[in-house]
Amino acid sequence: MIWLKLAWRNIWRNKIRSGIQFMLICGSVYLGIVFHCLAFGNYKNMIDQAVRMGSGHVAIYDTLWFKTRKTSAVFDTKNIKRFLSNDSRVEKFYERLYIPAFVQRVSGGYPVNIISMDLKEEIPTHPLLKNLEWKPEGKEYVIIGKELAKKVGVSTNDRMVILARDFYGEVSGILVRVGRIVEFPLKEIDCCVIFADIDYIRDNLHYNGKSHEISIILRDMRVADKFSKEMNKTLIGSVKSYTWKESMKELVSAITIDYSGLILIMLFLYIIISVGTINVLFMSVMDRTTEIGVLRALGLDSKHINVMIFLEGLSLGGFSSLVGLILALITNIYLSTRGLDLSTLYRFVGGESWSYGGVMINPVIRSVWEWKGIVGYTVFIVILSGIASYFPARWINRLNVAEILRK
Amino acid sequence: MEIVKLEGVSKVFKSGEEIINAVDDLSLVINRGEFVAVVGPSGSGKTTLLNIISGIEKPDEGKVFFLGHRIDTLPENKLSELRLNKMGFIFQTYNLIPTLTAKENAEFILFLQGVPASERERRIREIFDFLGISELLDRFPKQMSGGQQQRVAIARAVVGKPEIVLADEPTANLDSENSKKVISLMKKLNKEMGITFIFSTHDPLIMESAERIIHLRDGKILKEERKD
Repeated sequence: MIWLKLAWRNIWRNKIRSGIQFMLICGSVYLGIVFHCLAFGNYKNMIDQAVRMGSGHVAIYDTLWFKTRKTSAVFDTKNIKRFLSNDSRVEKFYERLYIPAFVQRVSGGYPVNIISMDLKEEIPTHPLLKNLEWKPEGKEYVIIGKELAKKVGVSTNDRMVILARDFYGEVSGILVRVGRIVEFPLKEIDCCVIFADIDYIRDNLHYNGKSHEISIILRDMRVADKFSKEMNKTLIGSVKSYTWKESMKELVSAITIDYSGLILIMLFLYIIISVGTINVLFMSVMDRTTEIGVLRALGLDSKHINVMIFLEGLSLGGFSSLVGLILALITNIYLSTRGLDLSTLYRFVGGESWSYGGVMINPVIRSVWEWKGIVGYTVFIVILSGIASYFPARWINRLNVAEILRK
Repeated sequence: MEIVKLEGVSKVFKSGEEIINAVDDLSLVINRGEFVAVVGPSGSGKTTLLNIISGIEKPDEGKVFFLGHRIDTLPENKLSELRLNKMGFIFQTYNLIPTLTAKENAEFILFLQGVPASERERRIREIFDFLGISELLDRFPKQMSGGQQQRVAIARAVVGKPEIVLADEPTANLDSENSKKVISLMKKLNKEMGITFIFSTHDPLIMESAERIIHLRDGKILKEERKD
């Protein structure tokens, strides 16, 4: 206890110097935790959006389609669907057909992609469609982007013809009706995608019971790897199961790059803090050279001096980190419930669409409680502060006690 | 019984081109319970002699014995242990730890000696009462006068029950009244607790109270006086 008392009082001998270092450490822990939790909140949101928009936590594809996007590479879904219906880990699964097509108008043809899905089922949960509050009145109803509607010159309830190759490679015309026109936040969807009913497309293009993809949403995304492995044991032929990390490599790269950037910034900040702490302890030790010489004369050995300076670093780091941690936790309570709305900022810097790594992101970022990071940032800086004491302690221990006392 | 014994001890300092014989072929025996003053002009080697006795300074030549054991060959950690457990120190400028109270300054030594908390408390009370400075227990050094700080420094020096106390000009920064108080406390500790005191001084007052006075000049013993 007396060591801690001594260390604590020693660090506050020079209030300004230690105060600045306190703010630096406290601020870094605060920023580290807040940004870490926000980043993870954003990644969670991105993964969730991507998973629901795209291929789920686990997706089943024909390998050829996965590698080449060849339209003919479809597979029969009947048995797989039965299997998935009986697995308690599966929250939902969706079948999809992705067909390249042309919208035929008098003014010309416009290339589009048909994303055919169970519209009734997916509209309530799909990140791009869930705010529609609309139920298609018939299977021929489709949803298109505002940009596409403008380009093609159609309004709600207008009919149009889409040309696409059927399962046998013949060009077929599908008559659809515009059910809803939506301004999608992703430019590439707004201009060029038609959301259509899968059964209607199958019937018209002869893809009976076949899909390009079964997108599986799991109750717990952490079991994705295990689930995918198990699926691969039951699947036959060229049909394989892929986790979201395998099927959305672009997203994984985007998250990895973003997180690496965050880590680099924090590392840089922490190096500054370490140098600052070494400096504060060095100055403090140099100011007390005579005093420490006297302590050595009284019988303190180099280990005692090491402990004393180590505890000074540790208590400065520990106290500052604790305050930073408390402030960060309070901030995180707010950010995890209310979120941080970046839409104004984003518009200000001229962003065109809310996408990153090919994935739509929510401008309101909600942080998560990522305890590994919270504890990691705090403990790491406390350890760094302790380590920073090594250099001043080594310096003072090398000085000759008799010479210090003579001075 | 011998507590300190020096045999042909020499210590040389170099200052640029100049070579100073701080202690020159000095032999000396101090017995347990003695109250010894080392006197001499500045630069005569008083402080160096005390530093050699305590192991803070290693002699260039000669042997140093403490309680019959040779200490000039001991490693630094053993010397620290020896100073902590067997020696007490009083400095000219008091040198209390400014961030600890008087009580904590004394307690720190006991803590390092591994004395249990309850025993520490008892011994601190006892020594502060003995020295008549109990009212200073909770004061920080900056809240005390020079004389008060030096009395607390004496308490710190003896609280660990040392065999010997080495005092380097303990009254040099004090007025005559405070000097008298400090000397009488040291004398009291010497008589009643049997602690050996070796102190360097210029102060005639402190010289008067010494039983044995060693006169140094140029690192050599010029003469010795003993009072019976």
